[in-house]
Amino acid sequence: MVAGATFFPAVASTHRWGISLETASPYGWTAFLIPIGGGNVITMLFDEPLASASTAASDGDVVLFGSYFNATGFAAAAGFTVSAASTLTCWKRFRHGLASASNVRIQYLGYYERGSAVLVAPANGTSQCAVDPINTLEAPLPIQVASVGNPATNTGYCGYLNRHRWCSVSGRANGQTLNDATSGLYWIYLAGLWLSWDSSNPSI
Amino acid sequence: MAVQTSFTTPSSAPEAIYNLITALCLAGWTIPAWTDGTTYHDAAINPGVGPWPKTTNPYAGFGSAVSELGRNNAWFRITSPDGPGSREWMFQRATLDSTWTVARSRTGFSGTVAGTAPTDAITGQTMLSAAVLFPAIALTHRWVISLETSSPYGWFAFLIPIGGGYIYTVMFDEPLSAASISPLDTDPVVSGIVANVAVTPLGVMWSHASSTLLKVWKRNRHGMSGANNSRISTMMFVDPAATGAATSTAAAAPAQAVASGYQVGCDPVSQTEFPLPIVMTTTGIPSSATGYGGICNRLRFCSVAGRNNGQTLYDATNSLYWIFAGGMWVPWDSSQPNV
Repeated sequence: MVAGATFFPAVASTHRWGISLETASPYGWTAFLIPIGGGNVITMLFDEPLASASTAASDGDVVLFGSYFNATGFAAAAGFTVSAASTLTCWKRFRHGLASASNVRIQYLGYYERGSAVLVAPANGTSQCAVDPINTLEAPLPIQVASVGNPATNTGYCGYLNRHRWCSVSGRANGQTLNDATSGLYWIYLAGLWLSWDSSNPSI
Repeated sequence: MAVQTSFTTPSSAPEAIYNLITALCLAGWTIPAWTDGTTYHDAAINPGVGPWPKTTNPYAGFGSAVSELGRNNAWFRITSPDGPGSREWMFQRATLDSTWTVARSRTGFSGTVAGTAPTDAITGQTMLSAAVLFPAIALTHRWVISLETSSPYGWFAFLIPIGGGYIYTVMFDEPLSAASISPLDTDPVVSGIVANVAVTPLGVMWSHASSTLLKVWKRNRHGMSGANNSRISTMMFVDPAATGAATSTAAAAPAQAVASGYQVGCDPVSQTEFPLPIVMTTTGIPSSATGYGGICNRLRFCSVAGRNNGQTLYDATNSLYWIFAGGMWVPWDSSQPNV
């Protein structure tokens, strides 16, 4: 994923290193680096299983793994993009244990409104899903993952993620949190992505 | 949860609506009032001809005789099994078999005039007003209905030529999943219609505030200040690398542009398509009137291109089928209908 290359900037007490981990099977974790006080997301590393309801029962490796480093980093405005050519690289192992097994770069599918021809999640500027008009709360949207293209026997649909969600309301700042009143837990914002967090509200 | 289906070949548009009434009643919907255009019936007028509300189809037929549905201005109300005040639809035949008024109300319609459609000025939404709903369908089309028989219910009906082809009529009542909505939303249901517009198999069943093919409404903030009925959009899925100018032909779901290669594709292990959940929202800057709705409880987007209207997809986990309609997968039962 990274071969003898720069993965961190100088971080001598100048950055927050945030890590969110799931402690029950199928586990999973995401780590990110952000300057103290806020700013761009500089480094990311994650291991995120796909929701079991969305994967083939015979898929022997239902986990995504990704990494990112850039000296400038991801700005808050929906910089988090996962595609075959994105600066954040994310792979899935397809057909593990079967013929034609391979590790392939995958895509996090965005939400698109055909009528206005805009990508609305991850939210970007005026292009956004907006909030529930009753409780004025944002609903972090499930992220579908696939290797998009014509049907193939070695790549294709992967599943959806539970711990990574798309932000659907513009104007969030990296490190900002969103409370889930149902669970009492927070989400933490990373350049268009909501990452599952605990009941604490970290001071970036 | 259980899916109930109805698969018929109607001789006329009134027979299609007649069959819809029968199917809805079997799924638990009830009829508090109905007319044949000249005679009005409800619990007050006909207390001895019970039970009220009607739990079975009250019409004697779908022709133009007395007490039949195929008469000018005949109308009926039909109420969700969740009870009076949960939601209600109203259908009125206009002056041709093909022309209808279709409306939906959160709290229920009022009116006792046999030839005049009942109204609900507060929560009602007219979806079609005395306009063409059906093409000519004299034994040439299948009328396909999928219904959920447990709360929060919901149904989807579409018309397709025998042997397959374009769909011209679609109607649905689709609850949003409980996990996806605000607990305070007392009307978490969207209502949709396609009225005599060609629905090709190419993933065209998407809605937007001004879409002309599929029109979908949601009642926002029912029972609160600023309550309103608004058009709502279906959120499609795209490859983020294809956003911008290329996006309009690059929607990965509903899969449509076979030549472009933009489709999600099957799971490469099981070689099975995964029908993708449909998020409903009114996009734009956050407001206190409209916005995020929720995720459809029953409908899904197709993620593999090349499907035909009426084609089925087997769900091995539940031993049920999905049936394809213009880019959407509609839940079906364990039978495989021969379109």
